[in-house]
Amino acid sequence: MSLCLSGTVHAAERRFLDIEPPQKPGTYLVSGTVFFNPGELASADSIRILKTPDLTDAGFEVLFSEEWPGGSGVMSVDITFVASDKELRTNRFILEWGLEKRAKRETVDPGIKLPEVHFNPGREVTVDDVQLPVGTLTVKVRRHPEYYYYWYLLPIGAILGLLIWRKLHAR
Amino acid sequence: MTDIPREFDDRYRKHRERLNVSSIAAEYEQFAENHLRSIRSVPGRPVSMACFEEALLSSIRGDSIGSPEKPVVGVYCNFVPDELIHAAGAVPARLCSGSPSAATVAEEYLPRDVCPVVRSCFGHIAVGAGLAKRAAVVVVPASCDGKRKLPGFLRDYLDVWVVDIPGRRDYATDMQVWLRETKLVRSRLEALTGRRISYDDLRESIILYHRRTEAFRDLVDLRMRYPHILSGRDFMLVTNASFAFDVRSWTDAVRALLGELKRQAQEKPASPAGFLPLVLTGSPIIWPNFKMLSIIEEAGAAIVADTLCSGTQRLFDPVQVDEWTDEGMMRALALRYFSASLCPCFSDSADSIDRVLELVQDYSARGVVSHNLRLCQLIDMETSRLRTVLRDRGIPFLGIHTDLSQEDREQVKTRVEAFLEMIGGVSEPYGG
Amino acid sequence: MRLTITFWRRFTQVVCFALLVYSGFIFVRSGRAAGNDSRAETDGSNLRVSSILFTGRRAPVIDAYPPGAVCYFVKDRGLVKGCNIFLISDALTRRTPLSLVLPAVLVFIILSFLVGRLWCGWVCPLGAFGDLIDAIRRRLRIRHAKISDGARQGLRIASYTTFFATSGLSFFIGLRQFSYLQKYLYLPFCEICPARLMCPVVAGGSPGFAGGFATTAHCIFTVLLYGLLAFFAAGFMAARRVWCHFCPIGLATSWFNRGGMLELRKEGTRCNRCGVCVDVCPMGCTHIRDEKESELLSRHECIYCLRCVEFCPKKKCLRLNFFGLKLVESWLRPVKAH
Repeated sequence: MSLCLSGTVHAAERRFLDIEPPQKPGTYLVSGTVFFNPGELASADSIRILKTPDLTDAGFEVLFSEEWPGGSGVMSVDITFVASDKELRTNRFILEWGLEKRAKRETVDPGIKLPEVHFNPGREVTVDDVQLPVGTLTVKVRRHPEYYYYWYLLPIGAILGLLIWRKLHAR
Repeated sequence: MTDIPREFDDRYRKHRERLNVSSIAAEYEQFAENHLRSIRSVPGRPVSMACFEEALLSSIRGDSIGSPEKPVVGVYCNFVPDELIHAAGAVPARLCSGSPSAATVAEEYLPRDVCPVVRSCFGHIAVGAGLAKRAAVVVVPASCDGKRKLPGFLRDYLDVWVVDIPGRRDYATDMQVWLRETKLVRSRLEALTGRRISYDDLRESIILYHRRTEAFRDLVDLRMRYPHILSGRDFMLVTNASFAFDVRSWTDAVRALLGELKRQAQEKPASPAGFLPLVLTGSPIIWPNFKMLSIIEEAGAAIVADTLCSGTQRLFDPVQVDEWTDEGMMRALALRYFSASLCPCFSDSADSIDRVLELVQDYSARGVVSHNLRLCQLIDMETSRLRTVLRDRGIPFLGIHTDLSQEDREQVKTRVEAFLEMIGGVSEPYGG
Repeated sequence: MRLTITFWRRFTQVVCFALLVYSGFIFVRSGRAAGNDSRAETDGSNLRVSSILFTGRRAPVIDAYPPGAVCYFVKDRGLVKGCNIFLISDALTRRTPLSLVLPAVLVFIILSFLVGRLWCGWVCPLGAFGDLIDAIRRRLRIRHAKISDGARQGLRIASYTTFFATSGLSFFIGLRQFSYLQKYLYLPFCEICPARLMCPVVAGGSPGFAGGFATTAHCIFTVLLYGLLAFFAAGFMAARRVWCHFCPIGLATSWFNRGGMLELRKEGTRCNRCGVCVDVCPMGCTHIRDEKESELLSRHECIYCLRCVEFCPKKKCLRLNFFGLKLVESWLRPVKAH
């Protein structure tokens, strides 16, 4: 089984957050994970959330971010912010990244117990989408994935045993 | 430090008044010529040997070597780097003596029970025989008891530099001492000649002497393949000649000898029937006192290899320079002259004994003869160990205690002949 | 030019250096983006993103981790995947599946067992770099420092400490609750390793993880890194292969020296303890001179540079054996009058 990871090369550094507005009125804690391609985002400091229509800063908090191994930038960022159901229905939230300065953050008070809404990263803003194969991810699924390769321990052990035997009998 | 050597008359006046110097010198020359005559009487000798004979005779006569600009630096043993002396613009001359008459002279000044070589060396200087009268200074390594006290006696006659030799011969702890002593000799040479030994001087000298060693090693290798090609006496003439022979001339003479010997080897590649190869070890045999060699070779055996400091060991080890920096060259000199030495004056005999074993194996020798000069505790203790080792390996061994005098020729001859008879019957050669 | 052992060693070092460090330019790969393959293994329950082995940039030509400082961080990737410290650190941090680690370990063990630390003396680019600096020092006729036995022992202890500290730290930051430290401590030894500093610089890159001069922090970091590289170069200049006593990359291979198929042997009876071997040894091995009981001289310090064999003035005293067959032996070579 193999998955094809397709990345998208886009000109703009913004994308909409695709949030399902909740039914019940009230204030909600909106959280989700945003993924980036390798080399796309250097640091989790360089992102911000904007609110339409006037593109003001929505205070948010970065809970967690993971980087691509090998130093290719940020892989994922867990974002959370507070919004009312009205806001979620009428306004749209845009994720912007690649900024020079760190954007405004707002810590969410853990004491407040708010109902949660989760989002997924939405479609890109730009029209010209170019699909490029970034790479192939080969995933092997096995019932017991490791056991087959234990046989390598035999030649390893044999050579180590030979080595120790030769050390002891060195003259 | 003196700049010019003092005149013979000034130095030795008081002795010339007490001793019959001229008769001693005449006796010495006669002795040398007798030995040379007997060597020359052996048929089939290479003609290239004439060069070495001439050099040795001239050293006995004390023909002019050195000059005020190139002072003669006398040395004993093999602990003082000839390269340094040469680089300083001086002339190295090894003054070790094997003359019995010089040893007799020393009896007036030194106790009787002292190593005969040390007595002879002292007598040589006291009488001003041979090259001794040309030396501006003499460098004495404090290797054995006799040489340790000798400087005190020699100071009456000329300047003496003492070189310390640690008995331990351990690289980790003694390298500093070796280096220190080598540097000390260097600085004293520079003061003697009045000029610094430059980097290029030293490098040139080391390369020159390395070529000397390469020529010598070629000779040794040729003798290993064709042991009969050069007799032990002739070989010792070659090595003894290097005591005070200009290094370039000596190297050229050896190359000429090699050429001739290779041609001879083509004609006679096999050893003659009844060829009896022996390894010689022990105290130095110094020209012109080749008594031991004459006895053995006239009895029918052949000295194919030796560990004598007046023989192979003098020239066998090269100065291997790791880095051609000033420090690197000094280190190389220190290592070759101290660490590579197999003199019995060191505490551990293992390397000397290993050398004998290596030679027995490489030359397929049938036995080992040890030439021990009396009153040398160091060589006696080493010989007792050697005897045990050789006995364990079944290698015949003969130890001869003798003196520089010629009186015990007959007794030594009898013992040697008995030994040769004993091993002559063995059919399997050892080693190889 | 005479074809001495040292000549062939230098030749091999130059060739291996070119291949290992400049392989990205020598070998044509199929293209940047297409080379971005990754692999992962799972039993189907969950696939952690971090267990995807992202190979990044271009793939190496040979999928192995031979002994020596064959650095992972060579620009445009090199001939091989990386050194054994990289293998261990990376595998411990990212919990690489055994199917990928064990074959690499086996290859490493086989290569080490065959020729031991010959890799250090003849192939390692860091060693070649050090020898180049050494040659410059010789040309300038500057003497080098000799390290004491105690110092050498201390360096070896430090080597063990570094090796196990690196492994422990790599394992530690692989734990889920500490994985945020991976940003700073991923490949901990590579942060200070001289090969990791030297190889990218020589191949046209920069040494730091966050190199460059964009901000003040970057400037300071870059200066410190180049300073560290200069420090290692000074070490090579002062004391020949002093680094190799400490090198954790060579540590694993050093365990295979004695007992491996490549052996440095001495015939005890032929040795007169002249000491030339010790003086020429870039690692300062004194046992070459002093050992007379045992024939086998291979110990963990020996990098098989064979200078002792080349300079030993006795015929057939020192020799190099491979699978019991003699490859080279000592004899008096004529002096080089350069």
